[in-house]
Amino acid sequence: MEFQEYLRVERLPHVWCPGCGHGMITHALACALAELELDPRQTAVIGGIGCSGRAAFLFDMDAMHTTHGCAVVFATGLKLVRPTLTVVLTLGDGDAIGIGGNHFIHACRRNVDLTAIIYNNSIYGQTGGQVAPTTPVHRKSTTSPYGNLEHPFDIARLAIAAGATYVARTTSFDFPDMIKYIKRGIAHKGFSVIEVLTHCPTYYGRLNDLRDPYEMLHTMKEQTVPIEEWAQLTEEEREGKIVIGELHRQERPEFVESYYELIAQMRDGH
Amino acid sequence: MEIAVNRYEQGNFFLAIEPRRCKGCGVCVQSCPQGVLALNGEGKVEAKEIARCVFCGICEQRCPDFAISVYKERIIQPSLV
Repeated sequence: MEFQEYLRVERLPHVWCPGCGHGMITHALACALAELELDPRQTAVIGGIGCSGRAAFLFDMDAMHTTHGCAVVFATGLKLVRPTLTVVLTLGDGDAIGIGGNHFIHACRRNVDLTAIIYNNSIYGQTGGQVAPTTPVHRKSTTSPYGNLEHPFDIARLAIAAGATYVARTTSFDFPDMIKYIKRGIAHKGFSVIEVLTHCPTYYGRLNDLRDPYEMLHTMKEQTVPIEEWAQLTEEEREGKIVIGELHRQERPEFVESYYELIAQMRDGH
Repeated sequence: MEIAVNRYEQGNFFLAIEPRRCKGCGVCVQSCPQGVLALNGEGKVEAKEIARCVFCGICEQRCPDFAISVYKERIIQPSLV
């Protein structure tokens, strides 16, 4: 199947702003689903609130648009009831670690077989460009007009620390990498986190003198270092850079499988 | 309803642009290594210099709006183009 067959093409043009990176990530996700040749009837896409939540209903398959921060919760429930489904989450940075931070870390800890794609655009785009937990320090937003004083979350490191078993980070500039990591994340049994750094030209760009979407994409490319080169860098060279690539991979008992094993054991016991 | 698609052909390869989906962000124009694409008066993308196109597919990958497709003899249902 071609990637277009996984999308509701009649809903295009989508609602995202001109030049928004969310379209690129959604394109990569559709390509990854097509390359894995997944059956749309056995796949579900769950989105939360925010610009990223809009991705869920662009897919021609079962989709849920859930309450803010609770996409992981709904997905865990769905996966427990229908363990054969492939469940993909399209989360935003606010959805995953802002409002839904607690749900997110506990899903990592439980190691539920879900694939979370985090559209990290460093700002709350849909509600008007407020400061997010991922806004870099000294950067402007509508609620931090003189620069943000708080230090941002490193989503990938947070996910690793919380116990996610597959963690990768890439940018919306690296299209083949996005497809590669999403495919590996879906194939991995356990909680997979793929953090995609993306750009918001409308709010983040406009407030931080980066109006041009292509310029923003390029800045992102310059700020990131592949993990293969990261080890050779000194502390000073690492300053202000972000490591990208496959950051963590681990095998650990998966929650849904363990749950059904326990049910089988209890039945045998009686 | 027939959806307007502009096809730019060069041998067996072709570039399909759907102007209805294009929002004129210009990412494809700046990404193109051969300078094939340009925005027209309506702010929609056009393949001005199709003869220079090498069909690398970067515009398709970068387009956030699914407006450009590069076909290298791929078999696809006409309704999806």
